[in-house]
Amino acid sequence: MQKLNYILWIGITLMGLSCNSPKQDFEIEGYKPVYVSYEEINQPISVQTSNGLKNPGKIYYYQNYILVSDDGKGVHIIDNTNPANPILKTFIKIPMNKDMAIKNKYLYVDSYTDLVVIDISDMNDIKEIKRVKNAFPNAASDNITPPRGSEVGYIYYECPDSKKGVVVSWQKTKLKNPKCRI
Amino acid sequence: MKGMRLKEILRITTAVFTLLFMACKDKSDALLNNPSNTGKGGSMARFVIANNTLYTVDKTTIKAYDITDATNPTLVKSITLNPNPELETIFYYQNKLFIGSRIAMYIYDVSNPLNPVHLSTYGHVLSCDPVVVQGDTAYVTLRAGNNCGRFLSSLEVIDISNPSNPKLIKSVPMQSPYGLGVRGSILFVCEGENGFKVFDITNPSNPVLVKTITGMFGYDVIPLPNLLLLTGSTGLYQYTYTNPNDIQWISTIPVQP
Repeated sequence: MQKLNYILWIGITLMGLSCNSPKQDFEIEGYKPVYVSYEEINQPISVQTSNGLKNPGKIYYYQNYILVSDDGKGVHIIDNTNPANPILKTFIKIPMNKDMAIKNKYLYVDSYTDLVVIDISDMNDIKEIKRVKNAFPNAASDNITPPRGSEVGYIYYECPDSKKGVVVSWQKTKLKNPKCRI
Repeated sequence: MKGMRLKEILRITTAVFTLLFMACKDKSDALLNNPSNTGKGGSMARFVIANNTLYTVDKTTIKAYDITDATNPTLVKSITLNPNPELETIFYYQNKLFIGSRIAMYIYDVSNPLNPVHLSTYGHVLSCDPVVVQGDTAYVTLRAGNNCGRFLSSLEVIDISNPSNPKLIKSVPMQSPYGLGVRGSILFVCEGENGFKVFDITNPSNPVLVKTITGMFGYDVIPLPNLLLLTGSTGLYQYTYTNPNDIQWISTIPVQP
C-alpha cells in the first residue's frame, strides 16, 4: 500500500513538472507599462518658459488668459489679450496633473493624489502655497491595467512593478511570456 | 376719507420702494453669485468653483471644499458612490451640479453649497459623457468605442425642467463626440478627429446641425461671448461667432513636434 502511495506521488510530481516546464517562449502582442518615478511625482510645482503645446487637453479661461493642460505634465498659461495673436507665456510643471480651476488669482490643480493651491496673482512670480495631501486617493489606481479598447478576449501585459514608480500609460509592444492578463 | 387715501398712497409708495429695493438687492446678489473673478472651464473639467466652494470629482467621489479662505481649502463634504460609477466630469448651473460618469448623469442640488443633495440619476448604457446645461435642457455626449463600452455615439437632449426626473427628449447620432459647450442659441460639439459641429438650438429641444468644421482634433470647447476656444491634440483654436451660420477662424497655436 505504501509503495503504491509512493508511486502515485512520484507520478503526480512528474506530471506537475511536465506541465510547468516551458516547452517554448510564447510571444504575443500586449502592453508594457510606462512609469513616472516617485521622485518626479513628489516634486513641487515649478515654472518654466513654455516650449509649446505638446498634447493639449482640458481648457480654462480666466481674465484674458487661457490655461491649457498638457498631457498630464502641467498647465500652459497663454496671454489672450489679443485672441488673433495668443502668446504662450509660461508652463507650470505639475506632475500627473489633470484638472484646474481659478478663483481670485488662486489656481487649484491636482498633482497625482494631491490638491495644490498656486498663487498666480503675479504671473511673473507663480508659486505653490498649499498642498492638501491625498485629496484624490483614486489617482493611485489609475492605469493599473491597460485600457480595454474594442479588443475582445484577453489583453496581455507586463505586470507593473511598483518599485519602478507609477504607471502613467501603456505602450503597445511584443511581449515574451507575459504573466498578467485581463 | 381724504386721510385714508393719503395713507393708502403712502402704503403703496412704500411697497413700491421696498420692491424696487429688493429687486436691486437680488441683482447685486446675482452678481455676487457669479463673480468675474472665477474663471470658466470646459465641459471635460473635473473641478468647478461656485462662489466659495470648490467641487471636485474623481472616479468614485464628489468632494466639496470650502475656499472662503482661498489659501486653505477645507474639505467639508465627501460623497462616495458605490459601485464605482467612473465619474468623469462636473458642470455647475444655477445651484445644481451635473456630473457625468460612465454609467449615468447625476444631478445634485447645492442650494446649501457645502452639502450637495442628490436629486436624480439619469442612467444610460455604458459610455463617456460630459454634460452642459442651459435653461431647462441638458446636453450630453455619449461616445462609443475606446474604453467607453458603447456601440453608437450620440448627443442626447434631456429635459431637466424637473431635475428630480430628467427625461430624454431627443437623441442625435454623432461620429466621435467629446466635450461640448452651449451659449444662447448655439451648441458646439467636439467630434475628436472629425473636428467639431455647430448646432442651432433656437428651439432648445431640437438641435439643428448647421455646420461641421474639420481639420483639427476637437476635444473640448469654451464658448465665451462671441469667442470660441477649442482644444485638442492638434492645438488651440479660436473662432469669433455671432450666430450659428457665422463662425470665423481667427488663430491657432499648433502643437510642437
